[in-house]
Amino acid sequence: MTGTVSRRRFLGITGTLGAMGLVAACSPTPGGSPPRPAATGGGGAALLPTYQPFDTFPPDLTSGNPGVSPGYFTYPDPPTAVTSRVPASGGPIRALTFTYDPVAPEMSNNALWQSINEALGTDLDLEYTPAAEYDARFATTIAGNDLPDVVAVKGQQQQMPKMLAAKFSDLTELLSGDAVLDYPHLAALPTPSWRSTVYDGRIWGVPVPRSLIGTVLYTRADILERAGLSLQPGSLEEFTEMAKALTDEREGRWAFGQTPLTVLLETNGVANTWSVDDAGVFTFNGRLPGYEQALADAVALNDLGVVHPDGNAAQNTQRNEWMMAGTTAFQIGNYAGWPKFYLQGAGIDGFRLTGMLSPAREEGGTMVRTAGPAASHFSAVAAQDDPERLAEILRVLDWLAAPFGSTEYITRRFGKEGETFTLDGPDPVLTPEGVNQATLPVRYITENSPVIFESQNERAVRDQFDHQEAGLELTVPNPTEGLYSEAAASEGASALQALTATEQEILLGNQPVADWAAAVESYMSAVGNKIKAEYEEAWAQLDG
Amino acid sequence: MSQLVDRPRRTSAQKDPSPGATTRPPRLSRQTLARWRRDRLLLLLAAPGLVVVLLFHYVPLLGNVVAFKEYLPFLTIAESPWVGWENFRVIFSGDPLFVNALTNTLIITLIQVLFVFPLPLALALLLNEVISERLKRTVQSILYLPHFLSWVIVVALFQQILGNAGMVNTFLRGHDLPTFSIIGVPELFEVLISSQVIWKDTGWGTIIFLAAISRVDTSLYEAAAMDGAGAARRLWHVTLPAIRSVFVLLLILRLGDALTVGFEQIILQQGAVGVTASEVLDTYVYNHGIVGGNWGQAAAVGLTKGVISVLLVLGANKLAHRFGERGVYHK
Repeated sequence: MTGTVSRRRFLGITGTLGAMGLVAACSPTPGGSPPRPAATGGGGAALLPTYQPFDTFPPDLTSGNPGVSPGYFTYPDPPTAVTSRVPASGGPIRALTFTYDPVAPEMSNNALWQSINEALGTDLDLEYTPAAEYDARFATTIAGNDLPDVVAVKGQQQQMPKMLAAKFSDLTELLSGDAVLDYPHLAALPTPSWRSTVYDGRIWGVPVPRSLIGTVLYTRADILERAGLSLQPGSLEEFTEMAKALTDEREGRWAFGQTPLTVLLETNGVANTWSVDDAGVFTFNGRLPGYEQALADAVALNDLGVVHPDGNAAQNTQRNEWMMAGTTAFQIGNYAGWPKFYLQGAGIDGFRLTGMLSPAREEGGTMVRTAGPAASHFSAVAAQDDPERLAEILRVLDWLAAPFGSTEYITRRFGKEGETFTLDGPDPVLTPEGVNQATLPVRYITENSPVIFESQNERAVRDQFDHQEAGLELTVPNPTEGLYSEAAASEGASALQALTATEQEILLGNQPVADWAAAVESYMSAVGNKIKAEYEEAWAQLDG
Repeated sequence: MSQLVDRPRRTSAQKDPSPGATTRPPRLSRQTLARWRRDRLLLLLAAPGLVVVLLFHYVPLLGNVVAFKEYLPFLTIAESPWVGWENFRVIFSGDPLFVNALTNTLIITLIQVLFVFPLPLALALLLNEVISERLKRTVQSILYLPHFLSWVIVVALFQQILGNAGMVNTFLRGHDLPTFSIIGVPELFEVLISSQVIWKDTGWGTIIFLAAISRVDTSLYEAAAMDGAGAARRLWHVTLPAIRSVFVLLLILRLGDALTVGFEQIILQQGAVGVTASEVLDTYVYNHGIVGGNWGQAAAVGLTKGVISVLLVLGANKLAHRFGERGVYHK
């Protein structure tokens, strides 16, 4: 549940600074980290689906680091079909998910949706809510006992293993190991992304994979270049000087739209919410001296006046607009939002967006980075009586995960040629109607392994690729990824709220930094120690 | 409304049922049947409304049982385990966060009842003095408008105008004048949200008072003027006594909402000011109950709030009776 808190806090209601730091870093959504072969709840590596990537469509940019998404300058030409038969023939498939986009036109007025249905051989009856309201919708759907066939499971819920067992289909037999090869596009989803679907040693869904790069300090490179500033400062001092140079209060310009606590935490060597030592002992990172130092640095940065004075009152969308308008030079957000900025920046002369890495505190010091989750969430399949129906639903999910480069991908993302998209060379480009219709959130049911592609914008592809390559080098694996703590899911949220509230008061200057230690200790005694013990036990089971 | 104001008070003789009536119940029920037959069309008209009230207001009350359970959405309410008064512990355990939320709520309530609640009356009296009907209507329409804006818009408007980078401060900064901070200052939070309530709802609140004022018999004003009463005396001795019942009625109803001080309005502004200054009961329930999935605790606090509100309404009503007012219902 804490993952939900962080996202909601982060994106919407309060837009708190608190979210930026502890809570944003705190998302327990299990993600991927290369060194961990095993899965949640005691399931061994053998449980996870066999990974069989597609190599039909060679990318323009590839990295030795398997976590870095491949980059494409153009859409593979010619696109080829990767499925040989229509996946479904039965009744409509109902799916429930969420979106960060505006509502798409309904099925009867949506050619893109209709072409997906045509390709699937059945109606994809998709219901969705704004992401911020999804938890309530999920809870009422579960409580109401009228489950759609496919349901997005976002964050960790109370009694998660029992809830999944009571309501959803166990997919282990169908997807574990080589069984997944019957669904080749699901087999091409990265292994780390599957970990979030495993509870009690069973597979409960199909992930929506994400790049491990996680949270990005988006940087208006064009503004920095005009000001003659480096795109990658080497120390906190240089970073601070840069922020001062980018701020001109009289002109209504500031460096940041919010206090960049996530950056300052990494600058002080704090990555992720928990860390683990070789003996399997977990530490809550709020207790590290670096955390308190980061808070002090954040307050100092606030005092310099380099943060937008209404930043704390603003919603995240407002902060995005500030950066796009040049009111601020930076914005902090999830990596998945990167391509949207190019749409918004299309009219800006010389617009260039890069990601800045958090500098080490001292020049030449060690840089670290918090790991992003390997999956945004997963889609579970409601308990089914008929095995053939279950296989049909999985075939549909498999179709929805068809790789970049396929004709299926074009149908899913761009719809129908001439109606919702046109071809610009090999690249499909949405028409104005298509732009509206493409907000249909099929991609939040499941989708292919992430790729980097920007039509006619080679530099944008390179900028994203370079940021991933440089950032993932520094990423510290999140030790709680793939672990489930009942205390964290049930009692953790409320205690974390109290801690976040203190963090926020400190950043607002209403409380001294010295109050942090006491707040952390009361968090630990309220629930932190229990979570720690549960993580340690789960960790020992996995590695022991 | 006018019925409430004008209907004569019941005498004690009317209140006591006559001995004859109690000894002959069959005749009474025949009367009742006859009344029902007579009013059957009206009763039929009322039926859908009654069904809606029962279905959507009374049946869901049963869900309050969650306050005594550890409710998990994937189990049914019946299957969730009983936990007795465990969910209520937060209210009585002296948890500093809860106490802080309760204190803030009470302070905001006090400010709103003392300073915000009487404003529509004052505005209605001023409007009543406007002689030109056209001007009065125009002013009224303008005053009603903010009521129809959602809190998101109102909060954004205040931020755009009064924010640290808002219109006013940007102007001041551009002219090298000292700037000021209102938004984001914990000490001013109560003032800020009360100002927003005043701006948004004072105009709307005048409607009932204007209706009540318009019912005052004009001959009373004439008589008072003949006796040499000036405007102030006419206001004091004619207008205010005539609308006293309405004022008391609205005050009692307002007390029923005493512990509800604007969830949406406040949660939208928590980020700017921090929770110490801004946490109220409703946001506490949201932040600790709903967000954390502690539905039982959220229900317990909500149920307690409801019980306190009922007690406040009953108490205020009793007090109103003491002072010879009719209150919400008859004695």
